[in-house]
Amino acid sequence: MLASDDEIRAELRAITEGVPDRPDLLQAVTSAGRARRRRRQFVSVTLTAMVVAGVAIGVTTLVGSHGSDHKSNTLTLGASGTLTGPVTDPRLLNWPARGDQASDQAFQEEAMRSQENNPNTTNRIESAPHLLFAGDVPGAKAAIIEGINASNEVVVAALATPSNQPDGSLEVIEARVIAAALPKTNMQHSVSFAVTHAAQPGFLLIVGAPGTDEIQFSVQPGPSGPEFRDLTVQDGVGSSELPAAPDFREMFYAVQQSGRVDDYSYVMFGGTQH
Amino acid sequence: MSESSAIDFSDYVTSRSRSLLRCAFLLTGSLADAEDAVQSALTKVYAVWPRVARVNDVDAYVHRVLINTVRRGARGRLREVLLPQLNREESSLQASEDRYTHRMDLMAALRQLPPKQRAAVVLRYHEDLSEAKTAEILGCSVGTVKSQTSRGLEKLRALLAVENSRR
Repeated sequence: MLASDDEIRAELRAITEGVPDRPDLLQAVTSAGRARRRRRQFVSVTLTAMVVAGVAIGVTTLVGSHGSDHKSNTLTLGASGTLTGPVTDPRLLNWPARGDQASDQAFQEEAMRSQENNPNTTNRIESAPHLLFAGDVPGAKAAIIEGINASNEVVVAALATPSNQPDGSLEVIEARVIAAALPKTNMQHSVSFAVTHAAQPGFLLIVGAPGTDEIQFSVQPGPSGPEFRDLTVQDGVGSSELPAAPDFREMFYAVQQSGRVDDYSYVMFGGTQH
Repeated sequence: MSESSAIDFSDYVTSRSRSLLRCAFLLTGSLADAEDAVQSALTKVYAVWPRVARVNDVDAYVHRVLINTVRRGARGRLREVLLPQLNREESSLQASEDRYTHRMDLMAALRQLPPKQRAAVVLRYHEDLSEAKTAEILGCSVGTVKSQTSRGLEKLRALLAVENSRR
């Protein structure tokens, strides 16, 4: 067990042995680099123009503000007016919304309202919201929304409320940045959240790529090493009840499609729902 | 960017991409995050490549950008999703459980190290860089590299011992 420096070297190298190369990396980098340069040139030109335009706009705003109502800055929904419209940003997961409330407009509106009130502004979705999941999970109603934050990063937010509460009590249980602000081309993904409580059962929710037909998981630390068990999967989504105050801290899972492992991933427990 | 420096950049990315991805995988704990970090770091380097190509040690410069990119990427992340893609061939569910478990534990332990300790361990033991080169990349003294590496290894061993004792 890492007795010597050589052993550490050997283990670290063994771990990364399977990291695949990315053949399209050069193309992705040069395209992104050129786009970045164009953006910088555009910003530079625009800033110059804005200095000139600023005076005129300032006057207009001062005049126009008299007698006008304050309008809050709300998030614009997708092209279809819902969270389930077409995804136009290539960084977002182009997945259909799943879950038994994926077509429930009122539920989506409540989820969006709650997301807009997320006090963690760093990970608040500001544009291109897209619903990945809305529906019942064990003991709760949950929604997962993906979108772009103010720093132009991809954010995925999970919202939930106990089953017996109204949709209006949905709250953000977690929102995290899942990718840098650059396109990704060759990865399969899954999105997972786990909510645990000290005194009552929590839930686990894993949304796999469309076509996912099997999800196997192993809690850590397990009683005798990894023991993979099947999670019930419906429409590529797996969910399960988690015991109150679980004695495991994290979980590995494998998302499979037609017997092929698409994604190995890992979820840490600790999300809390108040 | 001139044609000649563009060719140099292509050569550099082609020859070093896998190595950078491996390093980033250990730093982030996730293949998806590693790809993002390497792509993001190389995009930054691409913008200043004519200048970078003239420095003595391009690799050290790129590693520095990569490590800073990983650090910035980790900020504000409430919960990290790992993709422990240990080995595509080997990581089938039938793979040797002991070896799989041990490496999972090592990845999990590595992730628990503070960013600078993790970077020091990865640069010294995975990239096989000298203490002086590691100090140059991390922007600190050789003494700091020594202490960060030593504390990092100590913590890794302790975390792995705890995991072992649970089994």
